[in-house]
Amino acid sequence: MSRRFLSLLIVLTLIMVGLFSLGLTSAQEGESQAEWVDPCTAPTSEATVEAVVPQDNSDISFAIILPNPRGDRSFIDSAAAGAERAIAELGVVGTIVETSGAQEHDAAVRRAVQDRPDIVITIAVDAPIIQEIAEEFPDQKFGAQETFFFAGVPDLDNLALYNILTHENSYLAGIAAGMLTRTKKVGAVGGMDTPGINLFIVGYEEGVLSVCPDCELVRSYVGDFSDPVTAKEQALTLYNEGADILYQVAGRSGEGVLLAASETGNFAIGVDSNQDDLYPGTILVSAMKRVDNAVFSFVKSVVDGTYAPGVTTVGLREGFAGLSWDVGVCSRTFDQYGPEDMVAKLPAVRKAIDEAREKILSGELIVTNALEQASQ
Amino acid sequence: MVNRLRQTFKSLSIPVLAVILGLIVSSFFVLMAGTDPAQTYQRMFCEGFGSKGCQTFSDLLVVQVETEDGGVSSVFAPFYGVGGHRMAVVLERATLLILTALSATVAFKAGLFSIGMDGQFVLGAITVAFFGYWLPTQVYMLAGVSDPGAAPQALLSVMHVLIPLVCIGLAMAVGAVYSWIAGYLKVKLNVNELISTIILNAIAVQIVNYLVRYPLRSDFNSTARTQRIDDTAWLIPFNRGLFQDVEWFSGARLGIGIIIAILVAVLIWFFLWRSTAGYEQRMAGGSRRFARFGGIPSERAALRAMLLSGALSGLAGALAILGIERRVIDGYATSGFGFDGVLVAILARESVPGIILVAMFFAGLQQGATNLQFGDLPRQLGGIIIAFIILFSSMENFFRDLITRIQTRLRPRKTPYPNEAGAP
Repeated sequence: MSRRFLSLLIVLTLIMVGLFSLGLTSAQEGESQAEWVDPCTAPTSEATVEAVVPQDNSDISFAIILPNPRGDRSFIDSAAAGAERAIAELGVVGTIVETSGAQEHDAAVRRAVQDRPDIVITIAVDAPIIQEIAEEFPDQKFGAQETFFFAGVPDLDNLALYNILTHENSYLAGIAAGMLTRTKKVGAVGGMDTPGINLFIVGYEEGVLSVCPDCELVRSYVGDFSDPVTAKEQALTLYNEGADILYQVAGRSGEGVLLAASETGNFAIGVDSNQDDLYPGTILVSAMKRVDNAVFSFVKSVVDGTYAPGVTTVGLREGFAGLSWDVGVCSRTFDQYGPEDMVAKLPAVRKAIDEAREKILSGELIVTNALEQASQ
Repeated sequence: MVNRLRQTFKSLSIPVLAVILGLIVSSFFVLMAGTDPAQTYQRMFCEGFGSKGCQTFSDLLVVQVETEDGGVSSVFAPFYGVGGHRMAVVLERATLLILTALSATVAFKAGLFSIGMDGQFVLGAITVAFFGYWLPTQVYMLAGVSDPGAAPQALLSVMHVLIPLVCIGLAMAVGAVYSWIAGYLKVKLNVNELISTIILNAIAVQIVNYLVRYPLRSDFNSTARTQRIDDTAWLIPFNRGLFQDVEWFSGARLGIGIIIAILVAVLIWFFLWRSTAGYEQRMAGGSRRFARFGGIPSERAALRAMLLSGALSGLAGALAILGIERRVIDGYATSGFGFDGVLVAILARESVPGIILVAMFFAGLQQGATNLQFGDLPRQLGGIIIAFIILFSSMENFFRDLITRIQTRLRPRKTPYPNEAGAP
């Protein structure tokens, strides 16, 4: 009797609370335009954290070829992290292979094939190399990330591609830069003048101009993804010219941009991984590209037996590209260490970003895809 | 004859001792990195020279193989080619090292310490990458063939022979001219050839980087690269052509280049030790003034040496593209084959048979070092080990003294002044 009474009471309370909170939100809706509720700090009691149960798939193996040595705290480290996560969570046997530049890629992929792993994953290895080797070894499964086939993807049963589009999250980062700049002059430092890099930069520039139409844009290319010294010099030049926020899209070279920002008291936007904590208070936000998810998906597809050749294009919508401010990463380093005048603007910036994100996801706003332009 | 054998043994024992000492000293660093030296070395040599399933040093010779009925049998490892033998890849690399090392040797023998192989190599490579694509398209145009696949068979077979030959010739010419610049500066203006070749290398790398990134760039891929050479220019590797069914060659782009390299080595040996021109060159290298007193035109000899040296490096670059890469990728200009060739030449003490052996050993070590990663060992360890082996190999005199001292200690001489050459 008492138990029934108790459960009735609980249900009633829940209904009450529910109605009350509903009324509260509907009441807020009218006046909350100015206030932005941070989903990261808001209580998330209902979120259930899925416990990761390590599986045992030690009969399945993979090899991953990284285009440059690890330690860029960006793109390559992200890919390696995905491989390590696959080893830990899926219980597969994995070999992570670093190379030191394009001239080693071919030999490394061929060596990896000799061991006949279930899948050979290549990161940013040139398209014709992969195509040739995949044709030569039709029984070997390949997974390629960051490889652009401009002449059309070859029709091979053993080649799967992941394309992560980053123009949309770069657009969001551009909104942050456009709203937070003090000098009305912002820029980007790219690794090389290629469509894959311009995909980021063009999106970013559009984002800047959408909130700050009279902002001046500057751009420079390092010409190398592992030359932080040159990158730093270029960044210093741009800062001296009056730019105060630079978006780096340059792999390990980008470390030079971040360092230049921190030394001159200017600001930068990180790329690929969450770089906000490298120089706290200097890096506004990072435009993340979840290469790790792509790598993990490749391995998982072999474990599940769902490996399918062909291209998978993912981006902001699928959670493969985003900002370090987003739910899930929730980096708030800049709030803590950034200068007061900029931190004060952050809620408004985040609100603008959320609105732009919704417009992009609903298809109302289309960000220029530099990669598509190049292939036309 | 016995003396000759003893001499050979002595010169062979020096590099072997150097390698062993290099391994012992670097094991200190391997231990510091928290890895087991024995395991690391076994992995390195297996990756460099072993077959599939190679785990220990003994597997380099005899490897245990599972037979089809589930039993285990022992096989002579160098011939066990299932899944592709590592030596095939070693020979692929060694092809280029042999040629660049010969190039260095020719210059060294003339008394010129030219290290311009890198520059001549990459210029040869880019020349071939351009003409290997451009020449066939011109021929198709002249012959009025719109689709190369439908070209008459006779035309294709003629092109298959002529185009690579023309490409190789052009690359050798480019390499020779580029090397001749340094030689001319040396002979006419007495510019130190070491400095001029270092600078010329840097210039060549930038020229190639520019050509690959801008005029010769094939498309807007993330890595710049030239157009792939036409199939008629391609020296088809063994695993795609001649020995298609031999699994030993699987995965390696080893081809006719290795045969060309060894033939050239024989020719160079003949030129240096059996021809008048080679004699003049060696004399000019020994002492320029003495050579001039002896009536040898030492300036001409020096220029000839530089031309030949450049042509050999250009040939290496040509074979690298025609037989292996088929295109120049951005970054290939700094792949360092030229400089590795200089190292091989120094380690082989400018002996032609030595160059072939050392080139193979060096290529195997390099491959073993990079592929340490496939055994979950850090690749940087490989670099340290190679550096120590090179360091100890260059300490020639130290080992020579050591060996002589040990020999005299072990075998007391009967005569007070023994004559090594055996002459009366």
